[in-house]
Amino acid sequence: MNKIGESSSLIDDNLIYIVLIFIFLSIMIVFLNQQKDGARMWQDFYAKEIVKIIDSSSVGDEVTLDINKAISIAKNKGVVYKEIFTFDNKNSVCVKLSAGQATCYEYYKNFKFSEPEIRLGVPGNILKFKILKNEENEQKSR
Amino acid sequence: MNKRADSGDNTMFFVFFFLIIIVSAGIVGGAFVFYGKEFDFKNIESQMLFQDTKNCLSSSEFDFNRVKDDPYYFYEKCQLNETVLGNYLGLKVCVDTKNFENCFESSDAIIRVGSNFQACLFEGSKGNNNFPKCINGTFVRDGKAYALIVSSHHSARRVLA
Repeated sequence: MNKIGESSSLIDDNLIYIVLIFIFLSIMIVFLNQQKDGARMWQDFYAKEIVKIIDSSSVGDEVTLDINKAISIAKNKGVVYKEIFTFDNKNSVCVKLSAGQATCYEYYKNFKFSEPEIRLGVPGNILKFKILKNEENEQKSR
Repeated sequence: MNKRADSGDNTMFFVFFFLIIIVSAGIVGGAFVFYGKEFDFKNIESQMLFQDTKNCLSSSEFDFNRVKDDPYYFYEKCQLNETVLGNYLGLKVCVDTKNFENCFESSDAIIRVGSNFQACLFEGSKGNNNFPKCINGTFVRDGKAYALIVSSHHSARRVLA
């Protein structure tokens, strides 16, 4: 009996199954990693809450937001704190709580912002930014 | 060659594929049941835009005569962003409308941003998050009645970062 020949033919016969299981496991690991700690849900929540605050603010307002949950998720996922909240000054706020993907939402008010600042343990973790006038769009109308 | 045995092997492939689909549907379904649906913000957003626009247009500082000559006047005066309004929200203002429902069909609106305001009238849209969420109402300024319709079909974007 040729046992080596039999075992290699067994692998050949089942190669397609092995490849499919490998692909399936990789997709599931990526998906479950994104869902872990509810990162996707909290990204969505923070993006929309920040937009809600911005849309109900006026020029000169200073916003201070409790971001304890976002910080603890980002820490578990290995996201750099500086990359969590992005204000691109093109009316979009992006929140990133897991590596590789962010959730963005747009605010309808014509504002700009000061550089968002994350302060840890003051007590609690907070995000601070100031609402400024967007001069660029105003010049468009003149 | 044993062709009958081969056909049995091929049949097993479909069984295997079916099992993979069932297991993935279970995992994905479980995750969605646990975390629930996406937080729907359209209703709140259209209410906020409605209130902001109503306050701005009702103010005596807003000059309706300038709206036709200068397309940016409305955005500048009400501090609204034209691109976001056009892409994700909708806004329509009609004058001398006794009933705001006439404004949905009316083609002579003073201010109109976005389209498909008829979708606000669909009965089925009320419980369905895939339809735009609308707020409408009237206000009076200088003895004239104005109808204001605001809609939002805005959804969060997921981007690679």
